[in-house]
Amino acid sequence: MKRAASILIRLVSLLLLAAVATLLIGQPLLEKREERRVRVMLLTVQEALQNYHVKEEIYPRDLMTGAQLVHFLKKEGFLEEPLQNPWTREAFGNKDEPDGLRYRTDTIAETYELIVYKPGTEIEQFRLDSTENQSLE
Amino acid sequence: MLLTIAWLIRSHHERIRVLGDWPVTVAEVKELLPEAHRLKVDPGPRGGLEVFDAAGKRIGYAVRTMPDSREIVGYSGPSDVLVVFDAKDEGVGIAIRQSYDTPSHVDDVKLDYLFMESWNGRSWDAIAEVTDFNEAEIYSVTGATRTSEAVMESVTHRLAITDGGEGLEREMEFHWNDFALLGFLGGGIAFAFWKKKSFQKWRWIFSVATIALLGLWMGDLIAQSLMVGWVESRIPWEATPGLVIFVVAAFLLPWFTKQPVYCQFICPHGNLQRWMMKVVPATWKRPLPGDGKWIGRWIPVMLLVVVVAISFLQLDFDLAGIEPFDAYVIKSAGVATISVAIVGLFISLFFPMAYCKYGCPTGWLLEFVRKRSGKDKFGERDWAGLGLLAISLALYLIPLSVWLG
Repeated sequence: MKRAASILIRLVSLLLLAAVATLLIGQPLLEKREERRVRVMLLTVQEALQNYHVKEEIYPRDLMTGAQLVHFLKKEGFLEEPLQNPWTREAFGNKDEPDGLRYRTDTIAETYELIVYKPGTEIEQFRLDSTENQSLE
Repeated sequence: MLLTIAWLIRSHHERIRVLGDWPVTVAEVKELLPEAHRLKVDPGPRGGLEVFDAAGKRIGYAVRTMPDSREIVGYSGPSDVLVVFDAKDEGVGIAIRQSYDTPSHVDDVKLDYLFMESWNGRSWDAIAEVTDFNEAEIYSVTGATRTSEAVMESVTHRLAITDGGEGLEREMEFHWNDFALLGFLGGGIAFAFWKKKSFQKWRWIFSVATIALLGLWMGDLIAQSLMVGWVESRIPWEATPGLVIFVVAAFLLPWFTKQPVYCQFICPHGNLQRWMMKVVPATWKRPLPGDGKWIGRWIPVMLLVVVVAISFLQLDFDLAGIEPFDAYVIKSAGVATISVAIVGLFISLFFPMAYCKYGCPTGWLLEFVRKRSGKDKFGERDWAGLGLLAISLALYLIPLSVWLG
């Protein structure tokens, strides 16, 4: 009986230790995974925007959220595959769904800016634009 | 097993370094030269970037220290520094773009504006010619000395090599702190092997000295953040030969002599715990039950799994925070390391040397290599080592994209 209790205590404690390790690694790992998803989404949107510019010779004129931009690019035929919303991990669907991406252009729609803010903050995480930050490297 | 794990980490990071290069962006240069609008690669010997404003006028020059300065390692790794000059070829500032060094130390350097502006107004040639930083009035950052020195040397080295110079020579140089470390190592060895009573009675002085000088003043404790940094980049044998000998000896001595010289005689945190044992009455102390001891022995293994995972996956996690050793560098210590130090010391009041026995991943590694008396059987510790090797192999062989999605 005593031996069985001892084995149980040890087993539960090992599981607790594994849980602590998972917690320590888990948070930064989740952040890194999300960062990679954001990068993939951003580069796909950038490519679609550039294709739009090649055809239309201007960038979309309106200020848009990520979901609105994806919806717009899809409607215009520049995004064929469904694009994953990196924050919800589901395909962008509703154009009013929340996301951290903001799109804007200048007054003559000759340049673009794609800015990703850290979730729930105004801290800029990534920036891609047509002039200075054309790559995420 | 440990050497194989170290090789796997090194090889993994070499691969990442070759695949992942970070070109300088206009936005980075703009921080130091606000009119910057366009960068043009300079194919000349300087190998940097010409900086132009919106009107197309050349307004400066930017250069990064990597990969040329990859070999210049601070506390635990090299730093990539951006150096920007104006049109007159005078420095307007530096910025640490990316660093493999201990994050808390890098932050200290970044926040020391006096240090970061040390290059302002100096010409390319003047910086390239610097051989004595004190003479040039460029001073390291207190609390992050090695990291800031590596930044200083990286900048000078990068500028010097481009004009045909050889840059900083990588010659082994012993400084006072190297000699001090060798002194502590010698002292530890003497107390471990020379058991004469008349000599051992002075051990308390040595113990206090390790806490006050080695710990609080020099901050040179063997830690995971230090070793992982070295394994990921390289061992800075020429910059800090004393520390390298110190760390190597800490592993070789228990291996060849069975004596845990570093853990038992030199480690400031171990010695501090020994003093703490004397603070409370003996009746307050409690022996740990058998199950508690068994579980406690797995805590360092769990922390080593975390260390290996953080290193392979390059996660944003300061390894200094899982051990109490950075807490001795009070000026730059983070909350995590201070908490680990305080909690560990508090527990050791009631369970003598609890942190050393049940919490220290570095101590676990030193104990892992220690030669043992009697029959050499494949035990619990060896299984744990094999487990760590298996985890390292999995992290090495499975592509990063699988782990990171």
